[in-house]
Amino acid sequence: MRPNVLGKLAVLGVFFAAAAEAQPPSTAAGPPASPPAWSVVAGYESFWLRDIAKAGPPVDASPIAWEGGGPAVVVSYDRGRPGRLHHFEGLFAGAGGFSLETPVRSIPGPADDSEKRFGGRYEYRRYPFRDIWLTGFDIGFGIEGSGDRLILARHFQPSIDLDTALTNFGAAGVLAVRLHRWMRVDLLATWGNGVSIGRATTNHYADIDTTQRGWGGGWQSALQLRAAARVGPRTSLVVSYFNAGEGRLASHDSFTFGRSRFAAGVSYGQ
Amino acid sequence: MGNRFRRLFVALALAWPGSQCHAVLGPTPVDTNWRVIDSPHFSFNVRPGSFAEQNIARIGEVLEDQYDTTLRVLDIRYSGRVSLFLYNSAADGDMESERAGKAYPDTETVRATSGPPLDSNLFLLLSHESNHVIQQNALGSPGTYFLGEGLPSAVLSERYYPNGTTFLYGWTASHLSQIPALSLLVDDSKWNSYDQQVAYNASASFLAYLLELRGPQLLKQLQPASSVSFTRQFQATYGRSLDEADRDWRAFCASRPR
Repeated sequence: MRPNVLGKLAVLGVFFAAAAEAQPPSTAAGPPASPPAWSVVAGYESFWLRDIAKAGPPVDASPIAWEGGGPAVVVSYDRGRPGRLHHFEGLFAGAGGFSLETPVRSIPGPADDSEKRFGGRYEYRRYPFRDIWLTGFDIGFGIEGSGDRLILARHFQPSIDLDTALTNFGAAGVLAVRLHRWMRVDLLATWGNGVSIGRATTNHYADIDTTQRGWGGGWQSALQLRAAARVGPRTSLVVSYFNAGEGRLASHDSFTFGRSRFAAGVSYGQ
Repeated sequence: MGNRFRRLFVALALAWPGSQCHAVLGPTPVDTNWRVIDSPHFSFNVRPGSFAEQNIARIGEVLEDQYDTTLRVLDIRYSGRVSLFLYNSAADGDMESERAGKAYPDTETVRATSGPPLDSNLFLLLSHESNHVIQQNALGSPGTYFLGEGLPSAVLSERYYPNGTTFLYGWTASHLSQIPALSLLVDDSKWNSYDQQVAYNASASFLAYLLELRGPQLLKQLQPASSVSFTRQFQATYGRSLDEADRDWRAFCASRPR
């Protein structure tokens, strides 16, 4: 995690903590934007990739990361009841401005290196432990399925192009911690871990042009911190931080990659 | 209330997955104790005051020659910069031995142990790993371990050390009985069951022989061939079977003066 992201999170944390402390404990009113609710958040997402020599653990990955960033938009829909939730999510993210990040310096990459990602996710979550330790503090568990397409365009000097398209399907278990102690502020942390399987197509354009296709499998891990503050009868402001890592293990083509996203938007619900 | 929040924070801290990746399955972190020395085609990351730093002029000289040799022998176009991380020892780099290395072509990077002595084994290792980066980016991912591990050693320069064909052909002639049939060696599912020194040297020797006999253009056609299609691709490319070429290569090596 970058220090500037930590700084933004700290400022947000102070803001929401202050707002939350100003609120009385929840009574009849529900949390902000209760299901069914639509949310749209947009922000900046960084993407990194390191190729793997040995799958491990410990995973033997390159000391250098290919890293860039760009805009991301996430649209989600929640339905169900506060204790039983169906969460649907769609994502688009694109990254540019890539560089090779070594432990001690940054080497600018080709200007036309890029990453694009389209994806969808469904999660069914229940909160069997409610109001534990303190009123409004819930612990829940979920299972999720996901699918996404990752498109990488890389270039090497003098005129070598490497295009990779990866279609991944994943399944994961999710641990959720929710704090909805106040009328206007809702805090949520989720941590998912699971497996993925995917098929990659790699086109290499150089002295000879080659296309290679192959299946691979791997792991995925994602952490999300989300805060919502009610600003109207049905509307809430939402800010979120998302950090995920994935590994793909395949014959002659293994790498690990991840994303960090800071986003803000609105949620509209009951 | 205070105790409850403290318990919550402790629970969250224990569950925290770490920055960027999974704490168990994710990649290991990299330390920052490096000094960077650049040459025309390489960035050498060395430990301050290390043996590698003291000998970086010689290491750079040999690897620059290897870089040029690889491009010339394979007739490929590549001008990327290769970053090498030279560790003091196996323990320093979490490697299997004091002469071990790994290549990461997607990020144009090599990790290798580079302790004393400054001998042909060290340069063989660094040249082999650097060639992985050059060759994979210029030719694409290899379809087999046979190409992936054989080709980087098949094009080793002999300007400073006799690590190339002088060694490979002589080694082949003296190990004929230990070398499995090449039709078995091109099978990735069997590759790891063989003695790795035999597998690496035999594949390098055979590919060096093909380069010497028919040049680089035909050999490039084999780079993407998988284990399943390799023998068929070989027949289509060279107009004879892999088994026939295997016999000719062994006879060629055996007939060379020792």
